[in-house]
Amino acid sequence: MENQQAVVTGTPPVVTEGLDNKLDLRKKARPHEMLIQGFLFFSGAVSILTSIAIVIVLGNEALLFFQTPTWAEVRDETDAIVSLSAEITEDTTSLPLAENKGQFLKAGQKIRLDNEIMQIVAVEGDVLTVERGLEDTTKVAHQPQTHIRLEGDNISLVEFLTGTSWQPHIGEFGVLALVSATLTISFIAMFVALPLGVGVAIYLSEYASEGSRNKIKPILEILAGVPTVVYGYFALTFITPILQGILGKETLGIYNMLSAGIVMGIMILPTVASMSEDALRAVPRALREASYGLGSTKLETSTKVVLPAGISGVVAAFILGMSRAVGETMIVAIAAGARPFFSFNPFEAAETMTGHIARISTGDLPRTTIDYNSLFAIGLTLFLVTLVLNIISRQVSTWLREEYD
Amino acid sequence: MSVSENTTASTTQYLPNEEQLQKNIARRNRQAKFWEYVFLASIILAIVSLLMLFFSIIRQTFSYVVVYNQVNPDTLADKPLEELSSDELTAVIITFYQSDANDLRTLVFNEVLGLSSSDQQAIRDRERAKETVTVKEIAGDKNKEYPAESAEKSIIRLTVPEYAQFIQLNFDDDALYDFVVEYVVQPLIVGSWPLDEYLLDRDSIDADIIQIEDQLREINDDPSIEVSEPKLRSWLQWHLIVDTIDLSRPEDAGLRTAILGSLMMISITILVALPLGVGAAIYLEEYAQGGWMERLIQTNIDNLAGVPSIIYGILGLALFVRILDDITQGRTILSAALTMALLILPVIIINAQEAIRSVPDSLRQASYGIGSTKWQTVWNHVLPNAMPGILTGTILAISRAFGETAVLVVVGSITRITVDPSGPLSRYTVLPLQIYALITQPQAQFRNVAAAGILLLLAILLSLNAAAVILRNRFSKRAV
Repeated sequence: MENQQAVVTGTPPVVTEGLDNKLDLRKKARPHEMLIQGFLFFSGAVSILTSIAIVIVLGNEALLFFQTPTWAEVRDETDAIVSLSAEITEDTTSLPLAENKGQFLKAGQKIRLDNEIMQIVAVEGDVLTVERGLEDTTKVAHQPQTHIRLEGDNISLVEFLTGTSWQPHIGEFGVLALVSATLTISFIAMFVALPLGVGVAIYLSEYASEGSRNKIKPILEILAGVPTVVYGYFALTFITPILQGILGKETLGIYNMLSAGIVMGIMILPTVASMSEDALRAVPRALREASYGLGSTKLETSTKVVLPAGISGVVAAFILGMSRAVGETMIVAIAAGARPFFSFNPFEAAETMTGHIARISTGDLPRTTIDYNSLFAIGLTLFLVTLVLNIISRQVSTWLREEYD
Repeated sequence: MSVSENTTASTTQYLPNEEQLQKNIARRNRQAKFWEYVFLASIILAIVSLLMLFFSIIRQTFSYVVVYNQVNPDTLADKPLEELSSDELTAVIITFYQSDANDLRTLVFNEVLGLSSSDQQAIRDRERAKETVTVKEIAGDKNKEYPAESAEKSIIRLTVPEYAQFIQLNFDDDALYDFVVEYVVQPLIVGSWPLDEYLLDRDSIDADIIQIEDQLREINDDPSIEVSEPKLRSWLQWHLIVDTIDLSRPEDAGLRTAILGSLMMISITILVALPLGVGAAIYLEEYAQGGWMERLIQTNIDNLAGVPSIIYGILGLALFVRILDDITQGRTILSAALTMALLILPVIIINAQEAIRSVPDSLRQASYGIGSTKWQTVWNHVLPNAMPGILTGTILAISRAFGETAVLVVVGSITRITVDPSGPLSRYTVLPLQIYALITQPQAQFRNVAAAGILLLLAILLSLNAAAVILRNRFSKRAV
C-alpha cells in the first residue's frame, strides 16, 4: 500500500516536467527499419525476378534457335555422308571430295567444315573453290573424312512444332518426336497413379481408422521423398528385368518407356493420393450421413456421393500429377533410353523432352552450337506445357468445386 | 383415372418383393465388400512398391561376387599366404617387384608414407636439382620407421629389397598380408550377382561363372585360370565414404568428393535461400497490404513451385554459368548453389508463410499495445514463435535439394572429378549426380557401388526428414 502511494505521489512532477519540455511522442524515424523493409520487399520480388528471368532466358535463347541457320550434312543418292577425301590446309582453297558430288553443291552456298564456315565460289567436277574463314571463323586445316555441312534454312516455328523427326545432325528439329515419348510415358504413369491414387485416397478417407491412417500416411511421405535418381535405378535394375521376364527380351529392350512409365506412376502416386484424399475429406459429413440414411452401402456412399462431391480435387490432382510426369527427368534419362524417334510404342526405347535436355547438356556444351540453343526451345515448350497444366489444375479446383455451407 | 392406375401398376412393378430385396441387399453388400478389398489392395500395392524399391537397392548393395586373382597365390610360396611369416611375405614382395623398383616406390610413397602428389612432385624437383632427399628426412617427417643402413640414401633411389624392408618395418603382420594381397595377388571382381539371384537361381550363375572363366582363359591365354567361389560382399564399406571416385576399379570407388561437394553446395544454398525465403514470407504475411502486388507475388510463387526442376537447371546454365560468369567462374559450386537456392525458394516461402500465419494475432496486438514498431513485433514475437515451423520447412527443402539431380546435370558438375572441392569457386560433383554417373557406367559392378551410394543418400535424407518430423511434433505440442 505504501509503495503504491509513493508511486502516485511521485508521478505528477515527472509528467509536468515532460510536458514542459514538449516530450516528443511522434513516430521516430527508424532508418534501419526502412532498410529491413526494403530487404523484405526485395525477397518477395526475387520470386518475380526468377519468373521474369525464366521467361527472358528461355524466350531469348529459343529465339536465337529459330534464327540460326541449320547445318545439315551433305548426303549423296544412297544417303551416305559426303566427306573430304584429302586433307586441306591453310593455303588450299579447293576441296577435293570423296566422290563426285558436285550436283549437290552450287556456287553461292555456304558450307561448314568442323567450325569453319566457307562460301562456294565455283564447282568444277569434284573440286570446289571456296572463300574461307567467313563469319569470324578461323581458317584451319581439315582432316580427310571431315563431314561437309551445308547451310540450311532457319527452323521455322511450324516445323519445330509439327515435325516428327528430331535429328540435329541432318538439320531436322521436330519436337513431336520428343513430345510423343513424353506423352506415352506420362500416360502410362497416370494409368498407374490415378486408379491407385484414388483407391488409396478413398480407403484413407472413407474406410481407414484414424490410427491406421496415421501409420499409412508417413509411408506415402517416404515414397514422395525418395530422390528421382533412385527411382531411375529402381526402374532400370528391377522393374525392367521383371517386365523382360514376363514379356520376353525380344519384345522389351533394356531401355523402354513401359518401365519408366510404371515407376514414374509410383513416384507421383503420393501426390495424387494425398491431394485426392484432402479433397474427399473436405466433403461435409452431412452428405455421407444422408446417403447412409437412404440405405446406401459404404461403397455407394463413397463412389456416388463423396467422390462426385470431391471430384474437383481429384481432377486437380490428376492434372498436377500429369504436370509432374511431364517435367520428370531422371527416371526417363536412366530407364527410357536415348532414342529421339516419333513413337508411341511403350515397348520401345525413346527420349522425352526432359531426357533429351539431360543427355545433350551432360558435359561441357559449347555455347555456339545449335544443340545449346535447341535446349532452350525444348525448355520453353516444356515450361509452357507444365505452366498451362498447373494453371488448369488450380482453376479446375475452383470451377468444379461445389460449395457446401 | 387411368393415370393413377398406371402409376400404381408401375410402382408395384418396380418395388421389389421381400425375396428380391434381400437378394439385392446381399448383392450390394458383396459388392461393397469386394471394393473395400480393392481399395485396400491399392494401399498394399503402394506399400509393396516402397518395399520393392528398398529391396532393389539392398540386393545390389550386398551381392555375391567371384574374384579372379591376377597372380595365383599358390605360385608365390609353397605355403598358403596366410601362414607366411613377415619375412617370407617381404620376400614375396621382393620377388614380385624385382624389376619394378619404380612401381614399388610409388606404393611406398602412397601407402606407407602417405605423401600427397604435390609432396611427391616436390621431392622429384629437389632431386632433379641435384639435391639428395634422404630417407631419414622424409620418413622422420612422417614419423615412420626406416632401415638404419639406408638412412642417408636418397629416398627415390633405394633398391627393391630396401623398399620392401621399409614396408616390413612399418606394417604389422596383418597389414603386410593385406598389402601382399592387394598389390601382389591383385584380386579383381569379375562377376557380381544380386543377393536374391544367387539364393534362388544358382544354376544360371554357375553357367555364367564357367563363361567368365572361359573368357579369362582366352584373354590371358592360360587354361589353368580359375575364379574364386562366389562369396557375399557388402559394397557399403568405410572406403566408400573416405575414398575418391575411381571409374576403372569398382571395388575401390569411393564417394568422398561427391559427399563434400553436396555438403558445400547445400551450405551455400541455405545461406542464400533461408534469408530470402523467410524475408519474402514475412513481407507477404506482415507487410503487404493485400494489394495487387501481394496477389502477383503469391500467384507467382505458387506457379514457380510447379515449374519442373530441369527448367531451373536451364535458367542456372544461362544466368549463373554464362551471363554471371565473372562472379561465379562458370560451372562452379557457387553457380550450382545459387540455382538450387532459386529451386527451393518457393518451398521455403510457402512453409514459412504457413508458420507465420499460425502465430496467434493476440501476440502481435500485445506487442503493438506496448508501443513496438512493426519490425520489433516481427523480430521479437512473430519470428521466435514461427521458428520451429520455418525450420521444418527448411529441412524439407534441404532434403529436396540434397536429392535433386536434374538441375545439376544441366548446370554441369563433373562426374569424373577426384579433387575435393576447396571453396565456392571450385569445380565439383554431388552425391546424386555421382550415383547417376555410376548407373550409366557399362561395367555391371558399378551398379553395386551405385546401390551402396543410394543407401548412403537415403540414410542422409531419412535422418533429415526424421529431424523435421521431430521438430514438427515438438512444435505442435507447444502450440496446444
